[in-house]
Amino acid sequence: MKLIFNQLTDMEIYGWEAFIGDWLFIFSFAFLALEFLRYGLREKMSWGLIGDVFTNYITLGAFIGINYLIIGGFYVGVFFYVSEYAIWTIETNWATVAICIILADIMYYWQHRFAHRVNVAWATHTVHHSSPHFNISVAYRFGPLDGVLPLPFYIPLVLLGFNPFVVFFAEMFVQLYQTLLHTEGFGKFPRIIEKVMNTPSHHRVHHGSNNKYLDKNYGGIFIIWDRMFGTFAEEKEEVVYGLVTPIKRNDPFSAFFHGFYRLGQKVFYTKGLFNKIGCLIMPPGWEPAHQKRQIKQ
Amino acid sequence: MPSFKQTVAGIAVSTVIVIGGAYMAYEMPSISEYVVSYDSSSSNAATVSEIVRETPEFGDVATNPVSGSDLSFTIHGIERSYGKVIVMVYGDEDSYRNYDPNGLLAYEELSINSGTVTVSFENIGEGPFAITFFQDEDGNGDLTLQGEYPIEGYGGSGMKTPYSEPSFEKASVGLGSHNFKMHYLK
Repeated sequence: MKLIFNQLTDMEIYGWEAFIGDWLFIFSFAFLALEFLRYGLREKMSWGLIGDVFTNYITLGAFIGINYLIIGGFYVGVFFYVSEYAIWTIETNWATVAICIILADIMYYWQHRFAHRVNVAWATHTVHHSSPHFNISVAYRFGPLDGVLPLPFYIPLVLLGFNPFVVFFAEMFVQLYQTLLHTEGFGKFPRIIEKVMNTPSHHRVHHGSNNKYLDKNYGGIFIIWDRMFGTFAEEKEEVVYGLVTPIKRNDPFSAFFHGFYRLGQKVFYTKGLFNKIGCLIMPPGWEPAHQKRQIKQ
Repeated sequence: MPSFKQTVAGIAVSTVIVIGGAYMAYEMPSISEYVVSYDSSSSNAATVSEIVRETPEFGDVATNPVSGSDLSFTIHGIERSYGKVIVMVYGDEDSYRNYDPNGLLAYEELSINSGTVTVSFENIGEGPFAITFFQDEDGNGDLTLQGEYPIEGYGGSGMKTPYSEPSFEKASVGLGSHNFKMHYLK
């Protein structure tokens, strides 16, 4: 009990966040080696795959660069500014951190659903989905503005009184759990786990471009949110990874910017101001009514 | 895709869970009463062994352990740099309630170098302890009030908000290391 309820300092929480994140990153390389072995044994190894892995880590580098230079300070600043207006003061111990992780997981669900269903957010999140492969390196494939997207969704937790450091930790924790799901190496886990937790099987579905699998399984740690809110699909047919309209190119530049390029094109070629706004805020497949677009895809 | 109605219901359910969960966390205070026995015959002679003026870093617990027989705490959130932080440790309910200086287990004046001060007491007994402190900004040795409200920084164990006046039981902490916050109304 003492361990669970003992008060933690901000620096301890921050330390744990860095510790877990860094070691998982190193672990991911070891795991990637195993996955390469698996690809090799199944004779699925190709230059395309290797190029894709490089592209994934280059987008990660670009993402970290953008976060470091532009978003990071802003994000932290907003959190601490908002925390001044928190309605409660929630103490920091492992019990409250655990609660914060569960709540951050709900917020993650909505943030993720938003990223898929609002075109301007999809322009950045599409990068993560543009790989035709599925291994742990894909988890590190990020879009240019993936770092700012979560901000409005986690502010409520700070406003309710969670310490900003705890919210950062919880965000990171959900993200890191998600990272581990990017693999074809595991089939399905026992039923009880598949019912409650998000698993590699559920997340493969999320990355599928199969019609049945589109816009499904947004969950982070728990899959129950998808089951509750009607966005769940079970893995049945074989998953075809990637986008409905694949990017076809493997280079990091195309991968990183294709979302905003496509969005820009769509907005540019759509006629009428309201239709242009519609292109930004409606789901990705949305077309203005009674109007033929002249864009060629 | 779920219908619009389902989506709105989903958002409503999520909002309830998030607010409910946060309230649960708010009602879940950090533990501070894990020492139950109190040896009244223990020595009153507390000595200040160490005053560390730095923010605790991750890993401090492992590399610089506070031994189980020390009472140690860090006061965070010191916003103004003038004056000294005056720390008082009480060991019984009556002296705590009456702010009786004769009932103090320990009294210390700490200078401020950064936003936090850390102090640790050796041989102070087993507790429980109730701690109060204030930032003596004008150097008069007392917490200065304007009307009913302090105009200097203040705080103590068991104080969740600047307005709480915890009982000795609520305020009591055991040996080990603790974190407290300095509150300011002005």
